[in-house]
Amino acid sequence: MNKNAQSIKPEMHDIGKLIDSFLFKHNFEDYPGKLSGVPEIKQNPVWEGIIQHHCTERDKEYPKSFSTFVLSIADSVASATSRHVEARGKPPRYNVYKLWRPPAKCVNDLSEAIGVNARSPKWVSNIVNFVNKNPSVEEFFKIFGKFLKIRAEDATPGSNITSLWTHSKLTALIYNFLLGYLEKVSDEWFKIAAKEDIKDYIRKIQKNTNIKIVRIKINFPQNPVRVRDLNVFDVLKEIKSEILEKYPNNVLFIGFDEMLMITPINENFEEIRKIVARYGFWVEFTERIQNLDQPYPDPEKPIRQIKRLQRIQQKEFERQMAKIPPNKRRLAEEGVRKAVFEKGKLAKEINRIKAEYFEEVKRGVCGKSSIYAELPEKIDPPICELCQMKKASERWEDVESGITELLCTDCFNIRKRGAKFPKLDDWEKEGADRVLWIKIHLDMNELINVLEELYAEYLRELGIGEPEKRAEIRFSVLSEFDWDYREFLEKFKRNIIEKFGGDNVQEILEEFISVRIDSLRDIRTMLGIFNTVFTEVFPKFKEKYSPIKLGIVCAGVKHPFLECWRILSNLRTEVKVAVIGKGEINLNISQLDEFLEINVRNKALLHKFTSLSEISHRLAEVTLYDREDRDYRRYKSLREAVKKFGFQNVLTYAKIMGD
Amino acid sequence: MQKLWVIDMEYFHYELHSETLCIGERIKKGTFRPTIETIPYTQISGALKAYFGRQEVHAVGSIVEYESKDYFTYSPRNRITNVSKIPITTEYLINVRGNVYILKNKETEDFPDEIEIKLGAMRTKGFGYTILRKKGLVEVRNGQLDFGKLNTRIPIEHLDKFLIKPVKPQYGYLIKPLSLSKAVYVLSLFEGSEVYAPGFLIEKRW
Repeated sequence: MNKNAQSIKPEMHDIGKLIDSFLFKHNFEDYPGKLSGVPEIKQNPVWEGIIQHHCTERDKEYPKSFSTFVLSIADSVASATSRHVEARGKPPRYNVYKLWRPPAKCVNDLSEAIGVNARSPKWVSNIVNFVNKNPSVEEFFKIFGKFLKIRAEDATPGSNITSLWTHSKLTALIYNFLLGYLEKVSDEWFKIAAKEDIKDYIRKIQKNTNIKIVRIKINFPQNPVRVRDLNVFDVLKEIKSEILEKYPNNVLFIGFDEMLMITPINENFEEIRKIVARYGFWVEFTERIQNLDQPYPDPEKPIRQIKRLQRIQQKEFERQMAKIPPNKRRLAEEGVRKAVFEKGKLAKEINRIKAEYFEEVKRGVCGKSSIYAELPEKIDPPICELCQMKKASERWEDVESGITELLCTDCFNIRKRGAKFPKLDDWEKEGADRVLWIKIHLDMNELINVLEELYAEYLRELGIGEPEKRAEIRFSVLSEFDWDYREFLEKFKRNIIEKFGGDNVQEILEEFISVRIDSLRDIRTMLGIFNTVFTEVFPKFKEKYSPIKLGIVCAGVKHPFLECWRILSNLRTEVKVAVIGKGEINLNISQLDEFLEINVRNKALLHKFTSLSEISHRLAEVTLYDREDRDYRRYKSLREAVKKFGFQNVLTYAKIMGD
Repeated sequence: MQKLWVIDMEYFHYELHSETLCIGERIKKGTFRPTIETIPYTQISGALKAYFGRQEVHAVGSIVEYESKDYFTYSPRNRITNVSKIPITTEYLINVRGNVYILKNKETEDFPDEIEIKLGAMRTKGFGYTILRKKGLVEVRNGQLDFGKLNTRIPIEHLDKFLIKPVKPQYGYLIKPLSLSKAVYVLSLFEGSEVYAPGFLIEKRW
């Protein structure tokens, strides 16, 4: 028998949750119950995992081997909640309540939720026969995937926030990690040990086993200027794949340039250092040592909390300043600043969290650092023009302009990879007028913040006490989110290609694309596409705030890319549109619907408005309110828009629409 | 965890004003020179050393705000052949307000309350005229260091002069003149590095 056939295949441990628990327990310990005409269980490793993956008072069965013992722990680490969430007297909710896109209704019947009769002997036979043949994991997801995606991992109202699909995958990842990490105990012991002893041992391991939760950020020092320098993004993709290959059981979440990992406490990231060093990249990491019974995906929780409080402080500061007459603001600013940022209640709370955080740093519970390849203390000129981190030893001659650039070997090799994004090359040769650089950024800290708020809101609706305290976001919710985030990126790209045509769209990375446009008005179309897809996939974020940010830079095809990248790599508002040479738009995503409805169809009017702004912004603003101006009435929609979105946003929008 | 620095230091605080400032990075693509948005140790210390003709001057700076960015395009001319090279577009900051901190020592303690210097690139084109006005003396006492993101660039060899202790460093290289015609790039800590340092070197928000 091969090794794969002997594995308990942790992905399948909860397959029993696809059967109505009215018939028998999901660990099949009381199978077939009152059901007749169903096949017998033919023991194999998969059945072992299914039957023995619990060790509780309620269950008769318990882990009887090291594998099922590890599975039992992995199952608990991968669960959506810490099982302290209980909504008394409420029926189970079998469909997943996605915090960012709740279902229209909660389904209390499993059969209705998954669309098959989950009590029928036929369905039960299907599942038992399937497991009896010791199937592969691929077969499992192929046949049952669609049901797993619908069915909540835990149907308890309030706990139904992740799918069985996510739970199955995450349990397998954590199982594989723990299998290599936990101290091996002989199977013989499990056979002779009493259930209570095993239960105690599980509790002890969960309480005493330390793991490291690490967030890494991959950085490249290169400043891409030529189209070929965009190959750094190709390298970034390769680096992420290589890390995944080296750490197959550790990576919990992958973003544009970030990764969330679970590692042994002695992990020193030497493999990562070797991988990134080959390309001259470097890595920042933040880590926190945790117990297995506190699996929170956030190594920087105190810093996240401080940032959130500072944002509230800033709003309070702006609110207080707005109350002061404009001519007195300058004098009052210092006092208000002190009152809010140094003496207020929030300032004290921030200081308390800071003190706690420093204490943790002192104790070595959390830490952060950077990993670089090689850093000589001195470099004799010339230094590489792109990364400025190594001695330039290569010459890059541009045939067309005759310009010579001095590069280091790493940057030279990245440029030498050839045109990885051929459409960009073509557009440049064809003399395209303008391109849009579009980047989607996911802020992990903001994601956890907003998910916590939405989760607390859901628990409050269910009447669960102390919702803020109980609304903990664990790995599984992030993994669940990841599926929808990928779907969102895919849909966004697909809609862009539909609108602009495949020849005019170049994907650089999943979250980063370039589009050739004919008119600045296409920026409005792009915002419209984003708004539609975002509303469809993440409607709840619009009610709060968005961890997903959109950056669009519109520039001439020959404009130095590093300028565009500088804007895109530091998005401070949820929606940022920078039109080089024209202006910027900075909005919250919740403002997009109304913003896109600004009625500015009259081109001549827009042209007059933008021409005035070229003489003076103030003059253009005053003209909008000048009752003597012959266009005063026709400026009504612009005046209203300025009130809502500010002059700069509306002016840039007018320039776009007047093109 | 290593012990924090336990030294007392004093720095003169100057407020910086400049109408047009370009602290240029290296030229990109042969045609574009971006500006950075901080004041590195090497720039401000170099300018002060040149102005006062003294050696032991150690200063760092940061930019608090600027009105906008603009671009200046010019074509350097080869004086021998009298032929213009490819035009270079230089980015610069307009109406810059910032802070400069100078380590107090025997060579700097008599620095005047107002200093007019030329800072950064394109000084021959009229850029970089800068006024520094003394605001006071800042004392950093034992263990009084803040944690946060560094707001300046400083060579590793001078970290001790500003009590900077890196936690999550972001490295880069700054140029250090060795003589009138020779220079070397030295390993430096860049803005955005997470450090323990005196409060004035830390960005206000986490």
